[in-house]
Amino acid sequence: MATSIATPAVELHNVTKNYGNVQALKGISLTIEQGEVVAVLGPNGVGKSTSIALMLGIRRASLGSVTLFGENPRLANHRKHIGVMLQESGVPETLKVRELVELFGRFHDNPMLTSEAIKMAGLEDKANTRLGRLSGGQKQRVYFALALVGNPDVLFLDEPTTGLDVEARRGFWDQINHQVAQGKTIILTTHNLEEADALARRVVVINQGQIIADGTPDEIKSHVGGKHVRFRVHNMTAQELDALVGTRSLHLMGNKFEIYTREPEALLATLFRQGAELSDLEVVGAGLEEAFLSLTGN
Amino acid sequence: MTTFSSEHIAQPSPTILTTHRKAAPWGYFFYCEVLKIFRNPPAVLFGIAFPTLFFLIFGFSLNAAYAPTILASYAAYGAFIVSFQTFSISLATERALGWNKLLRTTSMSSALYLGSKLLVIILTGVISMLLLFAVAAFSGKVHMGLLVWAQLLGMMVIGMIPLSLLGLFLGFLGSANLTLALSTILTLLLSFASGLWMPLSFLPDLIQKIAPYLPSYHLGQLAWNTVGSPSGDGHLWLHLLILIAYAAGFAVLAAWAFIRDENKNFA
Repeated sequence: MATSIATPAVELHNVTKNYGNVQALKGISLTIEQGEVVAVLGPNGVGKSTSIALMLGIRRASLGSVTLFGENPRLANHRKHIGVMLQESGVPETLKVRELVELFGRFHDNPMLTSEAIKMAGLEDKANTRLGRLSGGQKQRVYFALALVGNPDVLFLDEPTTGLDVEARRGFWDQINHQVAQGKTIILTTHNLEEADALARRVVVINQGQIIADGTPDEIKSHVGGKHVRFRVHNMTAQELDALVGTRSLHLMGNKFEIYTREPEALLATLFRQGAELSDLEVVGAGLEEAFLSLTGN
Repeated sequence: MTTFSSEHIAQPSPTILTTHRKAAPWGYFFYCEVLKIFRNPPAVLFGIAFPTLFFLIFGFSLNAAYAPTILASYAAYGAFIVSFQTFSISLATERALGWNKLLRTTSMSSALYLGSKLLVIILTGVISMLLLFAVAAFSGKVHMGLLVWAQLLGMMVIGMIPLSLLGLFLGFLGSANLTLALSTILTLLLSFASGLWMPLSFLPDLIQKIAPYLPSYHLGQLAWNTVGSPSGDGHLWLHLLILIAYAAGFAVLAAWAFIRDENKNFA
C-alpha cells in the first residue's frame, strides 16, 4: 500500500525537447515508480540520451514537466538521491580511484564506505591508481563505483556496458541484479537487447522522439507475434523448400532451416501435406531483437 | 521446495556499510582540486616554480638594488600565470573531458564548482608567491618590513580576481585546444609587454605605449608601487581602480561565455 502512494522516482509529463530546429522528443509522458527496473531502448540518436539528460537535470525540457522524486532535477540539491553512470563523461586523470570515489560519496547524505564501493566494482587492486592509467573497461568500473557509492535510491545507467567484453558484461549484469535485489530503482539505456532482457522488468522503446512501446520484455516481444520454426528436413532441397514456403524468410542455420512466420501452424500443415520428413522440430517465440526491429520499422 | 524458500528468506540481506553524515563535499572537492594542480607538472613548473627560479637567476646575478623590483615583477608574473593560464586551461580541459557534465548529475552546483576552483587557484597563486617570498627573504636579497610583504601578497590576491575572470572567459570560450593555444600565447605576450620579465624602460617605445592598456601591466604596477620600486609610477590606488574596472568588464565577458556554453550544452 505504501508503495502505491509513494512519489514516483521519475515523471515526465508531455515533454518536448527541441535542439534548434530538430525535435528530439515529441511530447512524451513516462512515469517510473520507485523500485522499478526500466530499460529505455532505441536506436542511436532517437531521443534516448536526451530523455535521460532531462531526468538528470543536465538539460531542460522545451515544453512539459520533468520531476525527480517530485522535485525539479535542475536544482543540485534535488540530485542527492541518485547515482549516475554517464556516457561521454570524463574524470580528472590525475586523481586516484579512491579519491574520486570518496568525493562522490560525499555528494550524498548516507554514502557507503569508499572501500566498499571500490570492492563492489572490483577495483580493489586499482584503488591507488591514477585514473589516467586505467583501461577503458576499468574506467567503466570506476563510473559504476561512482554511481553506487552514494547509496542512491535511483541508479541511472546510460549505456553501461558499451565497450565491455562479454565476460565483463555478464559480471556487470550480476552486479546490477544485486542492486535490483536490494530494491533500488534502476533506469538504464541500452541498444543491446540482450541486456534489456537480462536486467529489466519493464522496457520502454523510444523511436523518432516518441515512446512507441512500454511493457514487460514479454509483452514487447508479443508485439511481433511471429515465431521461429526450426527443423531439419531429409527429403527436400533448399530450393524445393524455398518454393514451398513462398515469401516467408528462410535461413539455413548450420544443418537446420529456420523460418520466421506469423502462422507457424499453417506452415507446418503445408510442409506435412507435401510429405516433408522433419526432425529436431522447434517452434520458438521471436526475441526482443525481432520485436525491436518490427517496432522501430527497421 | 519449502527448505529452499525458507533458506532463501533466512539469508541475511546483504548489508552495506554506510557512514552517516550530511553531504558537505566542498572541503573534499577543494582538496581534490589542490591535488589536481600539484599533480600537474606544467601548472607546478610554470605557475609555482618559475617565478622563484627566475628570482634565483636574476635576483642573484643583478645589483642588489634591483632585487625588490625583480621580486615584485615575479610575484605579479606568478599571480598572472596561475590565475589566467592555469585556471583557463583547467576549466577548458574539464569541459572537454565531460567532467563538469558528470558533476552536474551530482548535488554539487555549478556555482560551487566554479567558486571552489577559483579559491584553489587563488590559493595556488599564494603558494607560488610565498615560495618566492621565502627565497627572497631568507637569501637576504630583499629586506622589507613585514607589512610590505603582507601588502604585496594582499595586492596580488586582489589582482588575481580580474585575471581569473578573464581566465574564466577563455576557459568557456571554445575548445580545449583553442584555450590552450590562446592562453599560452597571451600569457607570454602580456607578461613580456607589461614589463613583468624585464623593466619596460628596456623595451621598445611601441610596447611602452601599449602596456598601459594591458591588465597585467596594472598588476605589475600594484606590485612595484607596493615595494617602492623605481618601475612603479607612485599611483597605487589608480591601478587598483583600473583593475576593479577590468574585473567588471571581464565578469561580463565571463558571464557571456558561461551562459553561451550553458545554452549550448546544458539547456
